[in-house]
Amino acid sequence: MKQKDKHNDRVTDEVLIARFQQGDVQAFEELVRRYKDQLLNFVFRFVGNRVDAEDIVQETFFRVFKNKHYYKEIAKFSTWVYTIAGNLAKTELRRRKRRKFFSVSNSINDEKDFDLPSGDLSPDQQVDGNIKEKIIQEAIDRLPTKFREVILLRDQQGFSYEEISQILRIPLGTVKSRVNRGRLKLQEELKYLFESETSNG
Amino acid sequence: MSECDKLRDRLSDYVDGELSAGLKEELEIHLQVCTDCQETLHRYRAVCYSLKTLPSITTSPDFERQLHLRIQRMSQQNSWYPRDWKIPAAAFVALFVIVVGSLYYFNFFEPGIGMPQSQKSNVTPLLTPSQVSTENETPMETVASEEKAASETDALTDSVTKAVDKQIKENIQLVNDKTPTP
Repeated sequence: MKQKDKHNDRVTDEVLIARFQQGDVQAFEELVRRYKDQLLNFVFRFVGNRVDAEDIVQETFFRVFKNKHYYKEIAKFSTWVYTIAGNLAKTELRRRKRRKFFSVSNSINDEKDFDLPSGDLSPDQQVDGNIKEKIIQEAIDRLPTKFREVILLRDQQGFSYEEISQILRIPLGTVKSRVNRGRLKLQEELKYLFESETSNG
Repeated sequence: MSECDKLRDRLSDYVDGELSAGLKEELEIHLQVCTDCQETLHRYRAVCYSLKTLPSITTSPDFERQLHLRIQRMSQQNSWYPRDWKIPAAAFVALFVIVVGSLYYFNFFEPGIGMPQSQKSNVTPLLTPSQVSTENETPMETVASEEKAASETDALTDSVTKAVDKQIKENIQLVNDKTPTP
């Protein structure tokens, strides 16, 4: 077994989960530290709501803790944990759909919240950045779930097509086709945003 | 399929650099002459870049503490019943069988209780139905038992009357026997 990453000295995720399976709770805590923020960003963009996203990530780690023996070494830990988080996010979206169906007044968009980006931007740039982020997030929300999950995994999280195929348990060709169609749909949705950017120089 | 459709289908591979040299050259020739496809490619790249550079958020400061508490609660709930429940369950069943069996065994020799129905009929009841308390009986049962008691009292009265009559007759006969005939 590969004990450590090639490029640095840190212990691999697979070694940590193996240690956790043998009862080492500190190994689990290390996995939580490694994955909590990247999972949160993935789920946040997937469901469009920070509170729900944090609950889903909590639930993801809770399930990892409870079902640690279901993990088999044939898969990477990252694909396993993203499969759990992605399934929970899809369940949340289905739950919302049902709720929306039974509630006339309910609007999902009312629940969305967006963090102010920190940094050295001027107030005008921050407002522009916030508006742009909001527009992009709303375009992501309008995408069908099957396109949304692949483009987030590919472009936001940086997974390879093969890893996405393992996470979603769909053929490689389907992943490539969905990534392409998802990006095309998004560029159509955001046409006016990117055109105005071009015209502004 | 038009050249524009062909390009749209392969944009992902083109942007990711996964096209063969021949196909790449073919698409690039088309891109030089088609402004629509140039704009699509520009927006397509902008989408990929925007998704990569979306502002990041971090978990709340008490995320790990909350998770730890949740796991602790689960562990406490699990401690109420052992993980391997088969052994305590088997012990409980065995205890139940022993207790019920003992009760049945010791009551078996007491008349009327815990005995098969066929044997119950041969046992003389300790109390007659009229002697049994009627506290919990329904009104109909009370009436029936009262009628039975009344009929038994009548029968006793009849037998006493008959016995008295018989005694009187015997006494009269005795007096007649002792009286000298004229």
